[in-house]
Amino acid sequence: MSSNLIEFNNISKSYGSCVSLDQVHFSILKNQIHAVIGENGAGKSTLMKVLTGIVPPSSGAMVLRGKSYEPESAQDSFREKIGFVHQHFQLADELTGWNHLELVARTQNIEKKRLLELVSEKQAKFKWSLPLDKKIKAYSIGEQQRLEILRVLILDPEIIIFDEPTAVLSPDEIEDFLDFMLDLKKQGHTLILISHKLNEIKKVADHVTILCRGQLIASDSGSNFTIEQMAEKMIGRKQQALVQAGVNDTGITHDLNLLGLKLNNNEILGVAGVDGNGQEDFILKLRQNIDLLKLKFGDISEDRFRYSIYPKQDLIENFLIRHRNTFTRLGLVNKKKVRREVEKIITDWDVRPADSQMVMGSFSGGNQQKFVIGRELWHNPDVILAAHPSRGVDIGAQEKIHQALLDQKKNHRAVVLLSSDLDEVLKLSDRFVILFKGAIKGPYLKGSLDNSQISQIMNGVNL
Amino acid sequence: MKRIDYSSLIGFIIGVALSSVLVLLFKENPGNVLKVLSGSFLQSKFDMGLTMFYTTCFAFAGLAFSIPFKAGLFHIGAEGQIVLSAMVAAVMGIILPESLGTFGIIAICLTTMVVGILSAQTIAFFKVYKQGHEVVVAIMLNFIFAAIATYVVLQNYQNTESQNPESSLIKPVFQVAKSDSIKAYFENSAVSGFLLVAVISCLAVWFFETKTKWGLEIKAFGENPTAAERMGISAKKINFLALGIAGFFSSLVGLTEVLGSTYQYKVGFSPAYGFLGIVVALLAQGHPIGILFSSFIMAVLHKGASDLDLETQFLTRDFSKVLQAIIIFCVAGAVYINHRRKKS
Repeated sequence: MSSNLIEFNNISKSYGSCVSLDQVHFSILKNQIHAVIGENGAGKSTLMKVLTGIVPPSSGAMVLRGKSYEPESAQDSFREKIGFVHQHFQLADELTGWNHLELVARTQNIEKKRLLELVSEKQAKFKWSLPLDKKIKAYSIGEQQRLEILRVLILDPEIIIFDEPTAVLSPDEIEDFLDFMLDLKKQGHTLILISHKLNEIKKVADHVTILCRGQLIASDSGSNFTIEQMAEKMIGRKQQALVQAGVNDTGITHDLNLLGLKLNNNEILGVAGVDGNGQEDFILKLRQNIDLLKLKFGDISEDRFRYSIYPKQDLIENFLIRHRNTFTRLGLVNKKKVRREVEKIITDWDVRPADSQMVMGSFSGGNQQKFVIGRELWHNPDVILAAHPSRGVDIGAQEKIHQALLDQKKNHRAVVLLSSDLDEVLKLSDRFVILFKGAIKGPYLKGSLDNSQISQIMNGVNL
Repeated sequence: MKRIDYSSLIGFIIGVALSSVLVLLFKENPGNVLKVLSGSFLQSKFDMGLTMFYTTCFAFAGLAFSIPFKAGLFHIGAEGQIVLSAMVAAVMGIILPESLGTFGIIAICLTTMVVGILSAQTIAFFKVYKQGHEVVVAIMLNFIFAAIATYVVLQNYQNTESQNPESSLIKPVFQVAKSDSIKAYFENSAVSGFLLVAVISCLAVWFFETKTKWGLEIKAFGENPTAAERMGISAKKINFLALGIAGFFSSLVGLTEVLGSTYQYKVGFSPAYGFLGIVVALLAQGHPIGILFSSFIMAVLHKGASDLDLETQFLTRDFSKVLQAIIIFCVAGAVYINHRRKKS
């Protein structure tokens, strides 16, 4: 019988009037994989920040190993043997893997000799062979993640928190990673897994805690939930089935001129591939060719912050700058008209809070993305690029986005769906291509390849 | 919710406080110094007129900084553009025949504006085509333009009746500001009808920034250049447009000086209007209407500072520059710190 390792006793956290956690009460058992799931803004990150001492709770208390636990900084949580593997790697391109480990060792007063021992011990344990003398820029994404994990492991933590660890991995790597988690558990670690990939959670989690809008919805053994039940509890309602459009043959073909790739205006063309295999170049060429063909373009860009939004300007201006030519007469813009259109997008897409004059940066990521998509579809574009359209958004919004893409197809629009989430590509696209080191493989018809074949192509095997 | 940002005001207050401490070290009474600094413009209509003249110049210089700033450019080249355009205005006023009358004045204005715009766009040229940094280019151009202006005036148009380095006066027909009612009201002080132009300019810029496509494009580019370029706003266009507008306002400072006040080009006439414009713009957080007020505050200080050596025992005119520098430093610092804090 395992015992309570961590207890959260009525933890609440509010930022101003915004309640992020509301009386969350549950415990984490020793030597289990404990999944914490919930939509964006459900409070998962806040809860982990409270646990690792980055923010203090507004009220409530934590108990760790039977003793009251009040961390004042992240250092306190290290001392209590809690390790945190962040979603976004915090690595410096120009340093070697070994440099990164040395930095950690220095802060914890681990001597070089001891560090060498520790590293080779851990590498041997998991049969890893990280090239530690290489610079980070030569690392693959999977290797970077292992280095991040290794950084945490050399501190010998009892509890390890993984924040969306599989978001950047290819299907094979995901399998490996899940095995690795089970391995860690076998060795006596307690793991907290934050994720919204429910099938993965179903595979590995012993216990599942579901948060929704800061409140604890359920916390129970993993075997007591089906994937559908988890999803339902996360979003607070039943998932809607996607309405597929019937394929019709009256399509117009746009020649994308990307190595002979053609695009029909009644299909979704998926573009799969592990990040960093020429996606940027693909998008650039696609945009250039759409420009040349003078087609109306809906640009759901691959990086919202870089390419799609102006954080300090309100929604009206964010909309206006994108469609400025439509609303300009003699160099003057008509803001009143714009406001009506913006408010329509807000209603259609359920952007919260529904305030067209709030600055973009104050909205949550999911709401920003919903607004961007509403804006990019507003002018009924001929071709739509949807690059990672549901990255960082919750299931409810994801559902809406997917349905919108399918609707676009039905209305004779051509959609290019580029995503590092293979499930998303396979679910929506009629045909798909795979990017590997800048080359386009395919196109393949939906259902013509199984997952392991796709995975092989993604890793450069020629079938 | 948009919250009002008080950082520049706080910086201003800290600057004044630090200056007072410095004044104490010089065995002067800070209260007295502050009284001189803030009150000297009230002494007469003439003094008020002088303050209004400074306000005019500061407002133009503030606009010349704030518009490129919105486009993400740190424009410190106004000083060179001001000097160059003042020289051009003076030279034009000297060489154009009197028979042109009003057309002559229009010709002077247009030439000066074009020179102002082109001199500022030189910075854009180097930035866009040669990847030069706008600050470095602008600093160098400040020296180059000042040297050109001095050279042209001293070699060809030196006032033969004066021992000071200055040009001769522009033709009397072009000295219309002499019969200016604003000038007359302020007892023939330096102020002129350009004060009205400055007020209208601030309103026009406010309109430009909020209601026109180009204004929105500049703002969008300044905030997120990668997104703006992806949405079809070209960096080249924004650089030339924003700096062109800046050069236009720089040239208005030159015109204010030559057509509105001294009717000649005096070497060193500018008490660094171009740089003080940066403070004016930062103090107003770039808001065009705010610039009108902050340029008035700066003008009051500037006017008061010039009276310091008359009104105090130990402080000189140069010391007033120290005080101004402290205030500038504090305002810029406060805005910068606040900006950094918001980012993180």
